[in-house]
Amino acid sequence: MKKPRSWRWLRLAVPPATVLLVLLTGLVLFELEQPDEDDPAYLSPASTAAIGASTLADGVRAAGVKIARVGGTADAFLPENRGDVTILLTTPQFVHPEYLRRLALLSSATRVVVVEPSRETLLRGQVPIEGTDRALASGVSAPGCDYRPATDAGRAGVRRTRYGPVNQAGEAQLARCYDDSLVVLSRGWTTMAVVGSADPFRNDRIGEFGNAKLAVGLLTERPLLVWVDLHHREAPPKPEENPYQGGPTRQPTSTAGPTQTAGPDRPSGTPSGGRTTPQRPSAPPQTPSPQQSERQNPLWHAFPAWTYVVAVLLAVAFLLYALARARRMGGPVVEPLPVVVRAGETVTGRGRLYQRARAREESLTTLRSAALSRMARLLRLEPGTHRETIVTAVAASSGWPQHTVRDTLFGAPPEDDGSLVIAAIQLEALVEAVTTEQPDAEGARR
Amino acid sequence: MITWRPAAIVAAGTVLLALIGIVLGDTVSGGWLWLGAAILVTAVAILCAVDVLGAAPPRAMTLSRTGHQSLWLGDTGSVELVVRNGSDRPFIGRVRDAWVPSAGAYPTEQEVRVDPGRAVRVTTTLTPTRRGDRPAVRVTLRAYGPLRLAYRQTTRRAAEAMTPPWRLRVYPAFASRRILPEKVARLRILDGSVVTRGRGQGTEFDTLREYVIGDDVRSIDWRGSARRSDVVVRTWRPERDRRLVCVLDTGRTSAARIGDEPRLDAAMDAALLLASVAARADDRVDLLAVDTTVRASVTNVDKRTLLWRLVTAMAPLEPALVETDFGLVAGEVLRRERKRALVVLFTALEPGALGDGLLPVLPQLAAKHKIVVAAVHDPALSRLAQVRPDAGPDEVYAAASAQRTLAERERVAAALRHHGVEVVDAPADVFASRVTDHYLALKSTGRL
Repeated sequence: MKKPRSWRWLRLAVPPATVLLVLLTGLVLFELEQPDEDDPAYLSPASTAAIGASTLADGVRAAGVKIARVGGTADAFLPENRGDVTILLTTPQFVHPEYLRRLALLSSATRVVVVEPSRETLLRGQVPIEGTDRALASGVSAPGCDYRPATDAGRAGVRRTRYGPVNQAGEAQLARCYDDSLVVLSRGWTTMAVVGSADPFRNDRIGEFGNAKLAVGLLTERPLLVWVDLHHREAPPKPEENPYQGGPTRQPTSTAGPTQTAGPDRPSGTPSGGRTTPQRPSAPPQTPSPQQSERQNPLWHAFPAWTYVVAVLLAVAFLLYALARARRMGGPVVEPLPVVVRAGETVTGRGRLYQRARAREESLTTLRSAALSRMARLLRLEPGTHRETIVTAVAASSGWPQHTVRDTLFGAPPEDDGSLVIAAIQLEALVEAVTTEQPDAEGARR
Repeated sequence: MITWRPAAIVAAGTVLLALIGIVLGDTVSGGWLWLGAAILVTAVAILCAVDVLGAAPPRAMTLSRTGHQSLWLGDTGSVELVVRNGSDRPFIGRVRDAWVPSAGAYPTEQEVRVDPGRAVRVTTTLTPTRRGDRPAVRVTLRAYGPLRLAYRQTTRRAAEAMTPPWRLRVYPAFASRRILPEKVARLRILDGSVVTRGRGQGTEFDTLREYVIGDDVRSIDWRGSARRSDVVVRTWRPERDRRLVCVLDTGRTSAARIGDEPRLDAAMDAALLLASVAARADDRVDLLAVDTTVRASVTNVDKRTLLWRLVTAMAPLEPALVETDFGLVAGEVLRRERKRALVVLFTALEPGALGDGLLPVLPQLAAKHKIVVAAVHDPALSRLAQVRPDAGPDEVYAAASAQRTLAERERVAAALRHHGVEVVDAPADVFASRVTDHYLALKSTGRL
């Protein structure tokens, strides 16, 4: 016999599946909504798309600051872009970490603005900020500091990634605004501003709150803005580009006009041979691992080594015992039970219905008519005998006074349950009296 | 799968390692202890694997059964399971012969050793606790390896494929068997009284015999005397070969439990006693069990095999939660019984079931046959109808409800009597006796 397919598993599967589906749908929608940093329009000064930054660029130009748009970080180190400049890194995760490190060695007049660097980017670039906490969307908050662009802007929607403390000595934190979302720190000779959200720079969000003022304020502190418009992962720098040789205090060439270098132009002199490997490997720094080993849980040494072995073996033994007990000798056997119902079920059920409906009069009438028919049989009264005749006959055979018999058999309907009970008990007593007194009554009549 | 032994070995090894660790202290490095533990666990795993491979394959066993096929309820029987080893390794293991719980199988599991090519009988004792067909469900085999570290066991599907089917038919208890001698004795008295009473209703001509002084001269057969040159008298005996039909209503009303057993079981008991007595009286007994279809029927059975045929037909009957089709009952009875018969209808006096179902078809049935409606009544109902002096409101309401039910039943009985139907309404303990008494009364007055 083929068993009907059981759908019981659905009860277990459906609720988690629903939750999972909702979560997945949410995640997919969220990811679709996220701006794509590979997109050439993303925070590009020339793009008018929603994720572009042409509005910001216009604002910056209106403030009298020239914009030098470069296609790679290497171009930011060109002599004409050195000196009294602001360098804007819109996509720091594409910037090669080596450049991020070298940015610290630029002249003291240089300001660097980094848009929403991730924890990994900060770590690789050796930016001394510990830890990030990224929210799903940007929130609005008050500046909460006396950093000039922030105080000018007031409330702004910049609170998305929140940055931890600046950890290393000698590199002081200059300002911390918007609930840790805007951190300004001095790094080497330069000043670096880490902005926790791309929203203030984007065309579609720049109009909200003080976003425009904040973004423009951050980028207009120096007369030239080098806008690194990078949308692909950068190649490691060539040794010739080493800024150490140029020296940090080289005279700025800011007098030169704004060079609108469009596209990923390679700087001159790059395709030279020789060593192509960078001096330092680009792998993540190895420093955290010895720290972790030093911080190993001291509890491990609290017990002798054999205790752990014994604990694991005991667990294995319990697991084996559970396995041994797990399989039974065949499944349980089902008894096909016949349908059996208690016979008095309907009667007691109907009794409870009477009680709930407070059918006192109805109940007492039923009891009285049953008692009457029983006594009528005993006293040999014809059906349809007049009421008074019955009362007389019953009174005679029971020995009860006539008015009591009349009250008992034909009295008023009961007011409450108490009087119903009294009436029923009295009725039963009357029937009892008639049935037991019957021989005497018969004898008296004869 | 493994037994408890691998766990015990690992536990023992754990104790050993702990002792080593305590004794040697820091002189032994953790690495060596870990290595020892790994070796222990691996060794146990390998041993278990080897042991599983060494066990006899349970599917190579062939199973068959012999033993009791039927039992009376309350008796004890046994069924033997023959396990034949078709593999080349000895089967050492356990056998569970699973029956439905109401079959009362004991023991549930047995330890068995079967050598290659040999067979062993595993006996299961059965004490059924319920009437009807009690099936054997599944035989599960578990073959241990030589070290008893691991075993192989039939999967549920394989076990169900291997299990030889068996069905133990449990006959109804027939508790009223003990009053059968009394009823048969009354039947004999009836015989004798008929013999002395002579001709009349309910008697038929038996034989001619010689006149002896004391015989009633009115029974002298003058024509026979003339033929035989001797005075002969006619003798009479109770009528024989009358037909009796027991109709069991297996519909919803038969599912009601009265005392300890369903109404259907009380009806079966009464029907069995009635049929036994009727068979002694040389009447022919038929059985019909009907709800919406005919569940069982026994017709034209020889007197000697009657009881066995009846219990066999009755054993698997179960109450069905359907309204009995009395039109079908009437049709079946009219179709089967051409001659006038006594139809005993075992049902319940319920206005809903009888008023709507039976009363419309009763006239055509009563015109052809003599109908007796036999109903078990519930003593609990009469108790409920009494109002005790210390009763509470709920008991008074219940009493009113019970009085109403009793009145309704009385009305149904009156309606049935109006159609010439006789009603036997008795509590469960004396029900069978009352029904048989009624039959005997009908028989003695020749109204059969």
